[in-house]
Amino acid sequence: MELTLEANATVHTRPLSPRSAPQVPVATVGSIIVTTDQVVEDPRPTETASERSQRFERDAMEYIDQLYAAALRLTRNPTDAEDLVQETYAKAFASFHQYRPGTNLKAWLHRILTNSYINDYRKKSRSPQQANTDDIEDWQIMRASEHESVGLKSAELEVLDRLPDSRIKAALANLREDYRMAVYYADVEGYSYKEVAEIMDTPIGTVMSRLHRGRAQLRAALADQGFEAGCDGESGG
Amino acid sequence: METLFKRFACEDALPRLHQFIDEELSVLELDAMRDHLDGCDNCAHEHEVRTKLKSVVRRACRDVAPLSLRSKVAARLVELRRAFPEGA
Repeated sequence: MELTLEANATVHTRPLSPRSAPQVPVATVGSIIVTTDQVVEDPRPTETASERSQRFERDAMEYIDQLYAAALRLTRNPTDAEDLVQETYAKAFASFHQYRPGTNLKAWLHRILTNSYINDYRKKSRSPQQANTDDIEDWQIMRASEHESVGLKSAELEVLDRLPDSRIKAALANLREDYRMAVYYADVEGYSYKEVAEIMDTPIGTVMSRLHRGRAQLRAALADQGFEAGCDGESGG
Repeated sequence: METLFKRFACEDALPRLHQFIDEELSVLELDAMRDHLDGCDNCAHEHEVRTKLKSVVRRACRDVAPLSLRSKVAARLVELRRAFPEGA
């Protein structure tokens, strides 16, 4: 997949670069007046463009596993996931001047990955789009709701423990995309609700309801699988 | 027992269980939640199951990027750095 840097350069207003900043007491970025107090925020004002690029290579490569895992959840296809990760790195390189040192680089990369997928990628995806299955699955949420007996819940704990990773990934892949990614970012990456909200560009309340519904559906699906496995004679007691 | 927080009933505790597991509750809510879970078997079990679900999802999704992808990305970044020596 080819990526043009021109397309990315127009996405955001470029903030003041450290090269032009020190002599200018007051400048305008968009409609915001920036004073020298704010300009010196960057802790690496003497860094050259080349040094910055090398810093990006060094720091961002550290998160390639986490980006690949998120891309797999989004695309549900290793080939697409690899393409998406490559595209994410190219885009992140192009906008690294916008990254604020000291903030969460991994979350910043995940946000670019999510945006890339939504803006450029979803249309060409090899995996078919899922229908909105909310209504049909409401009964599953009821089944996995808070009214079961304590005995059933103990059995559920054992089932969850025994399920192989492949089953869990498959159940996650079957969730609606927005539920799936909220669960992934919160549970696997351990992001706060605020961070998930920023990555998914949605209000915190939406993150919470996606998590609630996503987890309930996941739990119902896994409980079903556990009972099926039990019927196959896998449960030793 | 006198408490600094307003005690939780099940209908206060259950809607906040995900926030509790995700460490998103305020300090006062945290105290009320711990106090409730200490005394309520049903909610304590619900807490246990949801915590387990979170941990099995975390365990299952630790994918490692293929080495070929790692090299492709690294090569691409070097290429971009040379093509744009002034930065992007």
